[in-house]
Amino acid sequence: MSKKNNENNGFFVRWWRQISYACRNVYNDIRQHLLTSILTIIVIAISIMLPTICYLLWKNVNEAAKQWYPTPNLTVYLNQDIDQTQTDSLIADIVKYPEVEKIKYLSQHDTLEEFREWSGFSEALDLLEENPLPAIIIVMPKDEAKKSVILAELKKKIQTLDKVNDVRLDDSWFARLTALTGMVETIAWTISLLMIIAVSLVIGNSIRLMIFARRQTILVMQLIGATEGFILRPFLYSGMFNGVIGALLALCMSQIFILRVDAIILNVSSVFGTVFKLVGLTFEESIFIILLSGILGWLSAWIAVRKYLQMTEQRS
Amino acid sequence: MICFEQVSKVYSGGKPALQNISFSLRQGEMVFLTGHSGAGKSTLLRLICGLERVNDGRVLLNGLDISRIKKHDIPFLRRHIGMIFQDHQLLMDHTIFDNVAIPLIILGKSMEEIRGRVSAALDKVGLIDKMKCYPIQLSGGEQQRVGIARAIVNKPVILLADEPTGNLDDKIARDILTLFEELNQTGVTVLMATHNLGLIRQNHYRILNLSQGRLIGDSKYCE
Repeated sequence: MSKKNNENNGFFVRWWRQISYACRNVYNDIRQHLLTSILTIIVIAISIMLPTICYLLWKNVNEAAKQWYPTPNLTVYLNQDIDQTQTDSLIADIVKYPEVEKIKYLSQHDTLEEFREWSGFSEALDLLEENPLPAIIIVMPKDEAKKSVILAELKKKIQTLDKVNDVRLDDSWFARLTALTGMVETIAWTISLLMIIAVSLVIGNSIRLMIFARRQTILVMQLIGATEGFILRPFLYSGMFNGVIGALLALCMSQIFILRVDAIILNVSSVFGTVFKLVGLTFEESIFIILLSGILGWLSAWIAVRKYLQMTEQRS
Repeated sequence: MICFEQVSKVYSGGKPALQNISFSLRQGEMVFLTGHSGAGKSTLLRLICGLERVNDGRVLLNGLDISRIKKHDIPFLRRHIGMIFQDHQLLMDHTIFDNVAIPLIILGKSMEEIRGRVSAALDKVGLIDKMKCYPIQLSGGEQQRVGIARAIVNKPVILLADEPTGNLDDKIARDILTLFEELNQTGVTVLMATHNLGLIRQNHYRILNLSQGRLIGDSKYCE
């Protein structure tokens, strides 16, 4: 860039001055209408907070699902008359399936011991002459195979093997949980969509009020030779400012909400003897929400002002 | 400087506002546009600054055809034209200084330059001591002077004034007229619309007389 451009009227210098003028404009406007601005920002913050909390709920239910509930296993019940070599070959067959991560073999003796420990019927069991419990193989599927359809296929395949009495797929919890997180996800999406519309409308409306209050200024600016960009700029900044500050406030409120709920959950989980910690928003997620909200503010302001300018153009 | 070539303008209502107007203005001229209200004085001025578009003919400003100018070039056209309105169009919630500074802010001038040029413009119209006042605190004549200061702050090549003395009494109107004459002597072309013939009769200026959208008189040497 030549030295002359750097001095008084270089493009970037002028541009920077115009931007700072627009920023001062926004600042003055907020100071003049402090209460209105605060109310607008609070409405935006609440509108953003609701989907944020929904998202957190979904995220935590997912987290809880991973932490608390056993992965869906297939339990293979063997015939009573199976001998050791047959068992070994059966295990070898099952391990060969590509869906299988690992297996756990419990002999008749093991199952009896486990049952004794669990049920507390130890004396009663001693009365039995013969061990009534079958040996079992617990098949743990690989992560990518943890889908109801694949597991059902696997179940069918194992069922046909020799000396297998029965195969149970213990996925009722898994299915319920999948349905539950799916439902929370759908609700979160719906609410998010509605709230995005709400945020746009709120910002658009506040910008419309601002336009109304400054229509004389806009007219004079147009007469004096201001470009459309110059006229738009303070409104765009104002919309973006509302969006960003609203999002920051929403993040603060969500954090407070998380802390409050976390305290309650800590209480409950200590009664149940487990530890579950709520997951908050990550840094990236927070930045995403702030950016999204800022862009929304910018866009809705742009639409509102453009519409107004087009309207006045047609009238004149 | 300004050249109208068979210009016609019809508003959407169907009534012709200007019909077949042709005239030209030299640089540094001071010309008055007279006629009854509704004769088309305002429309003519609005054509020059791009507030209206011609239906037929051409309007040339320094050889540039402004009747075909693109929409996004209009702001840049207006920066070369100083406009003064009957209702002065000041921003009531800004100080006199801010009002006069707006054309320079739009151009992105530095604060020092703005301060210097606004002071010079306000000095010229005799309102340098009212810089920090608001328009509401000023009299009608003073408000009109602020409008003139705003129009000249960017050193335009031409001043268009639409009934600048319309709301003012004779003494103050005469002062405003004197101010325009002073500006004209510095080389600015002035085109002023007025229906107050008494005001301009004793001065020997060129008068364009409009009646019902037609140019019925162009007296270069007014008797």
